Amino acid sequence: MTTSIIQEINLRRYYILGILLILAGWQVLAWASHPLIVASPGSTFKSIFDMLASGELTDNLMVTLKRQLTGLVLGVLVGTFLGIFGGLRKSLDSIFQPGINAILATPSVIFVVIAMVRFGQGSTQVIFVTALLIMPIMYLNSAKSIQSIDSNLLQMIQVYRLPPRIKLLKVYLPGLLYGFMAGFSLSVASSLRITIMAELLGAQNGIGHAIFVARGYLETSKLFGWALILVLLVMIIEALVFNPLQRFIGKWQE
Amino acid sequence: MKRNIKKTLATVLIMVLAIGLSGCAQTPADKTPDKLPEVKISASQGAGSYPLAPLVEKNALQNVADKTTLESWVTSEQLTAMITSNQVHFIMGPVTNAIMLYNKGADVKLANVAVWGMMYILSADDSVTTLADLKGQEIAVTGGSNGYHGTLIRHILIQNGIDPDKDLTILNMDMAESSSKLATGDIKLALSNEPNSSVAIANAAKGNVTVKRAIDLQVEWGKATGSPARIPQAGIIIVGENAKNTALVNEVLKQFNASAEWINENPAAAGPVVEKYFPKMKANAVENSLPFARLEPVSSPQCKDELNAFLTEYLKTAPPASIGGKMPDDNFYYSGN
Repeated sequence: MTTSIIQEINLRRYYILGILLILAGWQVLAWASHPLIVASPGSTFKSIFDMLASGELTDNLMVTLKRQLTGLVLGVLVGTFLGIFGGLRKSLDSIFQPGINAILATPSVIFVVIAMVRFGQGSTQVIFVTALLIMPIMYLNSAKSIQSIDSNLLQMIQVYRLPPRIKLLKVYLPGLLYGFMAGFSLSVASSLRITIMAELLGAQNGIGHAIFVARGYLETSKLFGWALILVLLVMIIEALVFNPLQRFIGKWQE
Repeated sequence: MKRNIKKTLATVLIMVLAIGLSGCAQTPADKTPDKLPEVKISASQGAGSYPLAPLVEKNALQNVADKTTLESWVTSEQLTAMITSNQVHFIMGPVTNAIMLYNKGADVKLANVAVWGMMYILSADDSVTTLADLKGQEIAVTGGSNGYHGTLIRHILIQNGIDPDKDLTILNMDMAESSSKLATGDIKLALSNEPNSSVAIANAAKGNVTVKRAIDLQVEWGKATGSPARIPQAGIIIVGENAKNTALVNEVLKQFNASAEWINENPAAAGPVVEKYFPKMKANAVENSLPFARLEPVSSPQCKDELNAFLTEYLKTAPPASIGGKMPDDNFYYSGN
């Protein structure tokens, strides 16, 4: 027990070392480059502080997170729902596959432009695109996880004439959860990226729009500031949402 | 374990050094007033770049350089990269981009304003002929409502008592995209440059959709602001130390002016030459666009007063950040000495 704690502390030290190395490399890169190309860590932190003070950061963050969450929930619900049917019936899976492949293969910015013409600029468009692009990830993962449920298990249930409740709770649900978690972890980080991408062109507020304006106005330190904020955001989401969830499900599966 | 860390550290340090040194290795542009082996010009897709094609075709800069090469740039990131790393001698590009770069510390000067406004609102809807007709409509604008084009429209609309945020919708769509959407009927209105307008009109006609230049933005700008129907839109930007090579810059300006004059007088002959060097700008489109392109180069510093007057008006609607925080000082204008 104690050795594992010591190991964890050691690993954390290396993690911090990794962060410091990135900072050092970044500073050197900034010295060697024009400030229009690479903003220094100092000016980046200053721009983050300025955006915090002016409320620009919080306002845009809230707008984006709201859109991301709505799009994520919609995409996860629809994708998982369809995925369950696709997993249970091969014929349905074949019907869904071309559509799913088409969505995955199309450059996502095309959806943004189409959605912008249909829904106008703003939240509806962003949420639609986020949900649309999250849906296939959830579909594929849940359909595959149900399809890969051990057929022996299913046969056993049939042979022993176990009630459908057992079949659902002990076989299908654990099997689905495995794929669901894999898809969900991918979706959480992807949805943030997709939301911001959709906001770049098709919104008047939110992080994506702020990035678009900063890029247009050559505000490199702001651009770097937003990038850093996004990295932190993904790390926070992983630490607060994903890791505990995974641990919980791991325990539940045991 | 420990050795691994040392290895990683060493690798990271080597990488950092390599990146640092490659940055230092960049040499400033040629300082020699003698004849250059090569002059590099990077140009955007637009009417301002037309004169560069015959200029290269005739090797008109032979007195100052053995050869002249042309390349195209598209994104503002490319523009910034070319300038900060001294990759080219001259750039043809939007004047506002040059001002922003200058105000942000990039080493650039303006040599001339070549195009005095080539922006038109294209319409697939015959009933749209005035600004008031834009009410309740959606219009596709490159860069969205906060970009250069969007800000110009917003300013004009505001001066005409139309609320650009409530009375109409400005969609952020680049010109290639909006042109194809005009042809398919997905959108009815788009703001466009030359020769893109000519291309869009020709493409739409193939699908039996009639698209017209419904509103001349320069005329509306003039009416709304009480100034001439001109907008200083694109010009020659001098990169870095090349501004000190006055023999070179003066020759470029002289040959550019001669070339622009020839193009305006011989649109049909100019088209194929331009297409040869800029394959995306088709000969027909180039020829048809010339009456709308206001290709009337005015060298620095003669263009200064008109540019300053424009900026003063522009900043009534645009945030100062859109031109890099302030009006450009006299140093921005190439003065020939």
